[in-house]
Amino acid sequence: MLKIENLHVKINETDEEVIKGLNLTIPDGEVHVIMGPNGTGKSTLSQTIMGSPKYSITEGTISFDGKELNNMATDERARLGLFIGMQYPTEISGIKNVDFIHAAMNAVADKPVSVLDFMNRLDYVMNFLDIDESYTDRYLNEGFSGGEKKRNEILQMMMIQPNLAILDEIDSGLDIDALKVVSKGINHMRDNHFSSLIITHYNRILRYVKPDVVHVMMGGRVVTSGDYHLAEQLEQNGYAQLRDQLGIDVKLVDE
Amino acid sequence: MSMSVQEFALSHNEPQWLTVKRIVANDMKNTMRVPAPLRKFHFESPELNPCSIDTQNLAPKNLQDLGIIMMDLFAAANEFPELIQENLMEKAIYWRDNALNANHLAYLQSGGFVFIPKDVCVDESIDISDLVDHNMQEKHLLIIAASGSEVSFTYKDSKQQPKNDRLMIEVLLGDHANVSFYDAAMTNSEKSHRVLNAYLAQNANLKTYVGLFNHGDSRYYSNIDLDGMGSSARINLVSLSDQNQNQVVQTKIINKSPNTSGLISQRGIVADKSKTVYDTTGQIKLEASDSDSDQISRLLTLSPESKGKIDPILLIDNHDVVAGHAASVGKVNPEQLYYLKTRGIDAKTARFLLTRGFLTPLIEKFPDKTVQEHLLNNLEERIHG
Repeated sequence: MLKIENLHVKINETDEEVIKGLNLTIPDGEVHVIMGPNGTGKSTLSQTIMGSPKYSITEGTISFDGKELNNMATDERARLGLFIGMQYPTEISGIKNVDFIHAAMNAVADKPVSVLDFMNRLDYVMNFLDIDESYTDRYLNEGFSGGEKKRNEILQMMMIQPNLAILDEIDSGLDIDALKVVSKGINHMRDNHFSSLIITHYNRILRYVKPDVVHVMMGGRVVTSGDYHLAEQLEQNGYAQLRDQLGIDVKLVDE
Repeated sequence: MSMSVQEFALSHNEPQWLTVKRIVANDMKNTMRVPAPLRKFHFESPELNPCSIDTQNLAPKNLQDLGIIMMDLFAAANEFPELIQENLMEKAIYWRDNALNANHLAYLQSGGFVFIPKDVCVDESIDISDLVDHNMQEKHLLIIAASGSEVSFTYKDSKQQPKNDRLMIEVLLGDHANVSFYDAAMTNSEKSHRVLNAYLAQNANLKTYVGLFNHGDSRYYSNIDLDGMGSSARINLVSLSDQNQNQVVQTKIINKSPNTSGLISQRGIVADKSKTVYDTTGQIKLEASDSDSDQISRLLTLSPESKGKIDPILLIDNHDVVAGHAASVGKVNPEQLYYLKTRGIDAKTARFLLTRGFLTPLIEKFPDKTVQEHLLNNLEERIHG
């Protein structure tokens, strides 16, 4: 279970506080969605959960399965079962996808994954996600299209099998076919031991991945939560109306 | 007991023209310049001791059957004066160029000669490492690939090396000759000076692959002369320096004739308190229309105390050409490091993967798989430890 209490986070480079007293709990087995206008701290939240060196926690705690994450290194968090599917996955020349994923699985697993087991699983997952064979020998994300990169994040998730997957705008820049594939991957992971935090602008991914809870973030806090219908309501009425309904005093970036 | 140049020459029955050439070089060396970056590599002349030499063709049987000659240089000077007299330190490396070259010729202790006859093609790489005595300071290799021949060579250093080490390699390519040269420069010498120069006739094609993974201070100089119309050269070099090492890599390709093409690709890792300098020149002479010259050099520094420097130079006298250069010196990319860590890979392993990944795209161009593994294993030993 992920538990975030009274979280305050600043961006190191600018010293600007972006998250201002955020509370969030994601029990095992549940898929939660965070929606919110641009510049409201959604990506900051996901990167902070993973321990990005770009952000600092100034107050509050993040814990996972009862262990406090605040001062834990990123790779330790990953070995605890956390995973992040990035909005902009990094390109790394010189490291092959296949070698990278094997190294990642070995890092997270209790004992090394044999080459045979690894290749069998990779075959299965690539087939499941409709990823071309040539992909394995290509360098990590190098020269990948936006859709290929996102698909690669989902592939990694399915290979590593984390307990909590944070998916940061995994749906942006995807055409319908790719969106369906990505959603299929997420749904395939769903069970009692897997939970997910999906960050998105649009509810179109929610047509394929049914969330247990939808949260709305504004001004660095979760301002309201609800079920799937909250997302539909937002789609119809927009963030400004919701803000005014709730009587919150924040300025929307795109206003 | 040390001998004079003349006594040494007599001890292995060298031809007189060579002895005279050595004596002239010895007499003239003090009037010649010592290039500034090579000042510390102007070694004391080595002690000359009597040596007996093998006068046989040392090429493996299957290569001898093709007419290939691999011999001690001094023995070859007797047997093939017409091939050696006008080429030894006259074309690819010129003995009058500087005091180091002259002294090298005068005090040359061990040498090898390789001749590939016209139109001979060999598939597997020819190992020429044992043609020189690795324990000697002044060593030389003269390689002639006659017109239309197609070969590749491998040179590997042995573990035993003198305190000061100098190896000069000359490769001469006839018309349409196609040569690949792999040099695993992994000496343990305190100071190592290596020269790999080549001269190309018409439509000749040379590719060099250098793994400069030595341990001491080093100067690696490579000068490729595209003299023949339509000739082309590719220099591929990866380097690694650590501890207090100081490396200078100076590469130069000169386009002298029309339709010539030169490309220099270099990538290096600079660790600990070491320093690496890439001094890279592409020169296109006025006569060399329709030619191209390109260079890509990148250095990765692993610690705040490691220093990398690149001097890319293009000297263009003809305007009907394509020329370019790219150079970068940088640290491990923090975004990439973070990405690997988000997958559970610990910081040390992540750094190593990125360091190895930095060299991999260039190492993968090396044609020989065992060579690739040799380099990658060596890198892992020294960086991952």
